[in-house]
This record gives sequence, C-alpha cells and structure tokens, in this order.
Amino acid sequence: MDDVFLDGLKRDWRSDTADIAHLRKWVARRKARLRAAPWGNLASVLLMGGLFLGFALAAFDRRDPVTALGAFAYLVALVAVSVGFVKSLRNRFVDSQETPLDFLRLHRRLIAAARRSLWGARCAAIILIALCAAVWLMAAAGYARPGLAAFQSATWGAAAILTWAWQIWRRRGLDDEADACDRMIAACEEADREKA
Amino acid sequence: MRSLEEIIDSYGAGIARLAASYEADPMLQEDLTQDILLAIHRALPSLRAIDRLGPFVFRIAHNRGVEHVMKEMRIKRQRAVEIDPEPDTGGPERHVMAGDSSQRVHRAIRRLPLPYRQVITLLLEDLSYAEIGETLGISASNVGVRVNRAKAQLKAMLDG
Repeated sequence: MDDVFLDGLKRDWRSDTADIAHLRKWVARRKARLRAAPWGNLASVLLMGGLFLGFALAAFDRRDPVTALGAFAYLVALVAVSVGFVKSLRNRFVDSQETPLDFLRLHRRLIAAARRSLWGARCAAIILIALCAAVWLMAAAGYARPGLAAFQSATWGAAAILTWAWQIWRRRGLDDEADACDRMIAACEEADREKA
Repeated sequence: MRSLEEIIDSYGAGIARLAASYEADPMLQEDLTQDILLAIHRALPSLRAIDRLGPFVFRIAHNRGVEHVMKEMRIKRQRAVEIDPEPDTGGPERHVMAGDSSQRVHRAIRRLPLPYRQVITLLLEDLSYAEIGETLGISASNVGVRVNRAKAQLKAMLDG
C-alpha cells in the first residue's frame, strides 16, 4: 500500500483488535450447541409422532370421533415439525462458497420460496378452524360432550389464530428481507458495470 | 487442513473487524463474528487449496455479513445496520467526526455502499487485488475501480 491515506486508514482499522481467547471460548460453546440442535428438532418430531400415534390408536380403540380429530391435529403438527427438521438439516449443507452476488441471488430465491411456503401455515390455520366447526357439529349431533368440544375448539381456535398471526408477521419480515436483498443486488450489479 | 482454532488465531481479529463493517452494535458484532466462524467451520471440508485460505475465509465472512444485514432488516433493527445507506441532508460526504479515529474509520466504512465496503475491508486486511477479486468473484480491474471509488467517498467523509 503506497498511499498515505490508505496507510492511515489501515492503521486506524487494524488498531481495533479482538479478544481471541474469548472468541475461542464462545465459538467452542456455539459449536456444542450447534451439534445438539438437530437432536432437539428430532425430539419434537418424535414427540408429535408419538402423540399422533397415541391419539390415533385411542380413537380406533374407542371409536371416538373427537379423539380422531385430536389425532388429525397432531398429524398436522407432525408435518409442520418434520418440515422444520428437514429444513434445519438442509440449511446445514448450504455453505457460503458462492460469490457475494451469487449468494445474494441464492438468498433472494430462498426468501421467495419461504414466502410461497407460507400457504402451508394458512392451510394449517384453516384446517384447525374447520376442526373447531367439526367438533361443535359432533357435539350438536350428540357424538361429543359439549365440555370436551369447548375445550378442544378453544385449543384449536387459539392455535389457528396464532398460526394466522405468525404467517402475517413472517410475510412482512420476509418482504423487508427481500427489499434489503434487492437493494444489495442492485448495488453489486451497478458496481459490476462501473468502468474506471 | 487447518483447524478452526488456528483460523481463529490467524483471522479472528480480521473477521471481527469485518463483522464491525456490517453491524454497529458491539453485542451483535460479537454474535456475527461467531456466526462467521461457525460457517467457516462447516465449510472447511470444502477447502481445496490451503494457500487460498484467506479468500475462502473472507468470502464466507462477507456472505455471512450480508445475511446478517438481511436478518436484521427482518427483525427491524435498522438503527444498527447499514446496508446501502441513503445520504442524509449533508450528502454522502458528510463528516464522521465523533469518536476516536478508529471508531470514525469504522463508522465511515459502514456508511459505504456494499460493493465498496467489501473491497476496502479486504484491502485493509492486506489481501491483494487478485485475492480480493477471487473473494468477491470480480476482476482485478473492477477491484481497482471500486477501491478508487471507496477511497474517494471515505476521504470525503473523513477529511471534508
């Protein structure tokens, strides 16, 4: 670097040093947590799978339609946590070896895919509301106790509202992320076109 | 093959500085530095030539920095994140007067548009034009153009 301005810049820039021992300690902790993360997701899948099987067997054994609806709700949850588990595994293999511009373009596609996949959350919320309606229809027809119907519909209704609110929040966040991504892509493409 | 611990010893300080070029909040800077190091750890098996370690490490660092900016946008912590900052009423060459000279330089670099910020941080970490080009996937001549533009903007911000 044979430039006085850059020499001064470099001196100031490099005067900021990191605590390497501290960094090593924290990275070791994060590595341990990272190793444990897929097991946590797998535990969620197994838990939901177990609950689904338990409810399904109980529904079959008792010929109870309300328990069958419960089994169906756990099946929906099982699909959701399984998708999350597979995505967490896939993300482990997405490394950062692309050039920054390619990385941004890849990220933009992932944002678009994540936005499209929100239909799954909307479907889940609609299914839960349909389950609420179904359990009250069964109560009206005498197949389910009103107390149980009230409890089940309150649980599923709350889950449906939370799911719907979450997908709205997530969609807005993804839109902000896409906007940031588009601006950075535009800045990089413009810089690529620049001539001396 | 180098271990992550060796990479932390050799590049840890540089990676932390690079993280500071994407994030102003010291706590989030530290998180980002750790994220970068973990990404390097995951990607290490794909490193083919050990003599290309610098570009390898800094490419991952910049990509994680960019990803961090997008995530921060998502959770609306824009106060601490600089993507491609809009000039304020003083224009892009506004002065960066507050703080010591190191802080002023960091603040000025964070205010650079992303492509200029990337080349200047790599240059300040002693990468050659060829290595910067390899890191960012651009030609050495384009590196030169971006360095000149970055220098001009930094001069305006720091000297003006």
